[in-house]
Amino acid sequence: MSEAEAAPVAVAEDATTGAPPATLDRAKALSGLAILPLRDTVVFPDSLAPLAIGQPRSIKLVDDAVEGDQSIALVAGKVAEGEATTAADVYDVGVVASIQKLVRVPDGTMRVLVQASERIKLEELVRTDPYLVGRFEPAPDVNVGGDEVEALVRSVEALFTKIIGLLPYLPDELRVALASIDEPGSLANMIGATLRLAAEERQELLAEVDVEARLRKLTVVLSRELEMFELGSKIQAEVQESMESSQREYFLRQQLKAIQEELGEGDEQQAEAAELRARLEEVELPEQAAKQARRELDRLATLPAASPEYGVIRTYLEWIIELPWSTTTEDNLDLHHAQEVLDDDHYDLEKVKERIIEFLAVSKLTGSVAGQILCLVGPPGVGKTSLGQSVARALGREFIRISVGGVRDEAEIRGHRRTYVGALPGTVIRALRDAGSANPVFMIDEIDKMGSDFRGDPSSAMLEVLDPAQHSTYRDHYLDLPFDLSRVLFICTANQLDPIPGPLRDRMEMIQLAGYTEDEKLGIAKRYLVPRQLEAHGLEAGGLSFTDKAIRTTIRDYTREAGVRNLERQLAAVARKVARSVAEGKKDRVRAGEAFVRDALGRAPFRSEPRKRANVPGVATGLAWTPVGGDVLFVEATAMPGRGRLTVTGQVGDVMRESAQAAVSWARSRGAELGLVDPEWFEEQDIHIHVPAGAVPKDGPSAGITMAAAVASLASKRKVERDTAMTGELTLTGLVLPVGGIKEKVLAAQRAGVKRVVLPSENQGDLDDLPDDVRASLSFVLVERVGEAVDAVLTRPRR
Amino acid sequence: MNDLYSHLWQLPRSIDSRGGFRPAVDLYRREDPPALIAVAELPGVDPADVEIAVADGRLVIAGHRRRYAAGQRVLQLEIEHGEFRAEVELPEDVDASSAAAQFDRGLLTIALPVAQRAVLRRTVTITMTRSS
Repeated sequence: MSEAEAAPVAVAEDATTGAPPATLDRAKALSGLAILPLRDTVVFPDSLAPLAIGQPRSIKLVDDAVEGDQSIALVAGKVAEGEATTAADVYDVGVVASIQKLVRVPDGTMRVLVQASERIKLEELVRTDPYLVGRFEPAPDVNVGGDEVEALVRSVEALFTKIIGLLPYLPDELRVALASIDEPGSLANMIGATLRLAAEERQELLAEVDVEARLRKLTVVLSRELEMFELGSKIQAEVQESMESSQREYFLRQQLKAIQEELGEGDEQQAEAAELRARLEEVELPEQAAKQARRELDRLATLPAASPEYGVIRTYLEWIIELPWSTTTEDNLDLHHAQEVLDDDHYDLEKVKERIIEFLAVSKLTGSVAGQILCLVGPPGVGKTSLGQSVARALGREFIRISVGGVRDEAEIRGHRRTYVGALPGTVIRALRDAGSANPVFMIDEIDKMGSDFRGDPSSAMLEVLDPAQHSTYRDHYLDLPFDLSRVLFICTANQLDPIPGPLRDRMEMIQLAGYTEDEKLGIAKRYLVPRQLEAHGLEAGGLSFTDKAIRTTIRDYTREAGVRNLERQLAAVARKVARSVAEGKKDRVRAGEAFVRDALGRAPFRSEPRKRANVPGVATGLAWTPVGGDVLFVEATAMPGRGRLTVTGQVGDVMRESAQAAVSWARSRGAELGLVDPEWFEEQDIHIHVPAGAVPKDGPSAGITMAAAVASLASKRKVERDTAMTGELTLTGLVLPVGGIKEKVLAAQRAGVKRVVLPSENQGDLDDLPDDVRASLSFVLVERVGEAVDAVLTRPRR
Repeated sequence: MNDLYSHLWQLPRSIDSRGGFRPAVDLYRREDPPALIAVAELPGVDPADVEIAVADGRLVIAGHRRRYAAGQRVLQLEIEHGEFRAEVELPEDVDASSAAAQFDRGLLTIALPVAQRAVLRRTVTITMTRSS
């Protein structure tokens, strides 16, 4: 910048405009500037640029320039640095620059720092040797100004600010520098100088004297750079991410392998697969299952042991292997043997045993045991479950038992799909695996107590299990393979018939067990319960014996049940007391009589009630059916002055309430006819009917004639005969309709000490089911009309 | 040597290098009497080649430094030469008309008394007294 020597710096009002004034000296200097052709770079006005000078021509040029303290022209070359010898080899727009610093490198080249000042345009070449020298003219910016330029400046500034943050090679100080420039042309130069652009592009920016056009170009360039950078960093992030995850996985696998080798279990997975394959070949699978198992095994072999899928498949294969696809036990179809086993295990129950023997006989003739589903219905403690065991023993089959009481989820029966975590087959398949044979006796307990809710209806799943038409291809959700259930002998048990859904009930053959009579209980106690309790208490070999009277007392006064569970418990209590005496050495053999039992068991909780209660007019004894057998119940009626209102209490349901109303209506309408009562009597009375015990809910129509008898007794002031119990539904016209549960009711009546039972005549057939001893100990009155019943039960008026 | 090259190849200190190089400037505040003292590093500069001015709350020092000698073969060139310009933002209003500048051992010292009352914002050129 030797030209500027004589030019003192004027500090103008506008201190930031530092454009040096053009002088004549300057023009003269521009007329013979040495041209340094640049390769692959373009230097912008007002910028510092480091340059490497290697070509001999250029070195000579720089040497001459610094020696003479001359400015030089920096012009981008179109060819390699040393080969620019004509005007066509260089661009015509460049900058004038002074050499600020210079360092020589030992290899003969040099590094220089040049300070570029203004843009110049080559007019003509003055010399070409030893380097290019040309005549230049200044080429100042043309700035028309205006809103458009201002808008462009803002846009460029915004873009560049964004780029500064993104490009790592741009220092943050650029923001400060950017803010300090307020001349559009300088802004464009600065940005052009700092961005790494292709030489051609930079040259284009440099050559554009129109500021507006330059800013436009710059906007395009900046937008493109920004886009490229964003795309680039996106690609980079993606690449890095995928590299990282695959590297990580590889690394972990190697580690795992190393650990396994260290522990000596490197080939465990292979060994496991091989073992499964061997086991699969051993078992005899249906074709479909074998195919599926092979497919899963192939998948298993390709999976890493750590994969969660691995465990799932292995468990699944183990299930397939362990299931008894074709393992069966041979049936013992010897009918005599079966009869013996059943008789051994169970007292009486002739009807049930007969049904089972028939079933065996059919199986023997047809040679298959397909399509049999029995359902034992009866009160608790009558031996339903143990009957199932006996059947298994008689047939020589495996016995398995599941209880579906309280099961509410369909998946409990049919399993969960394998996709669920911790999925297992349903209880049916699980039980079959435990049985280890494909033809066990399969007992399904408490089938009447299956629930259903939003999770599904297990009874519908049960349909498939129990339907002979479907269950040869029973498909568990977990296995997802058909399993043949047709060889299984299903025996279900239930306390009640009603809660079992109709479709399910349809598929089963019902066998009713009504409960035992006193004689039967005595027999059971002598044959099974007493020996069992003696053994349990270490009193075998005559340590304790019961008289029949003692057992009957226990049955009558200390238990009230259809089955024999409580009886066994009471006998156990007696045995315990005896065991204590024996252990203390006080006695060594005891013969328990009635007094001994009463002494051991304390006060009897049950009494023969009818005698006690029905000794006033207005009380009648009825018979009720409950899920645990029959029972007696009492209907009490009382009258008080009033206006003919009726009150019914005692937790009675709607049906029973209505039969109370029917009974009263019948008594009012027909009472006079039968000579029982003055109809006007009712008009001045309120009647209250109560059915104790008040805490037990009751319902049903079968207390109809009992209520009629109670009301008739009340109105006529004639007592109901003691020891007489009755059951039957009542119609308003006075007909008596048949009711269910006769056997249970009659047994209950016998238990309660009743001597005479009034029944609807249409129930006559049910009497055939009664054991002979019961029929012998009770008298039966069969009635068709209520009138007959009332007549039969009311005491004769005293004359 | 390597340091030298790397220094050369670094991006320029001042990106916007219009007006040449920028000398280093220190700025002090003297309490009594209150004044701002600016010291510029300008060795080898002829005081006659320096212009000092205060404009718009900024102190502007501009001028140029001649090279040691022209007409000789240059083996190494490191000292910045040619035009220079330094602008310093002044934190307080100063009474530029009573400012004094001295040039001593290559350091240009400018004392700018702090204005007691608001002064007119205009450009004032400060003349230098040469130290003996």
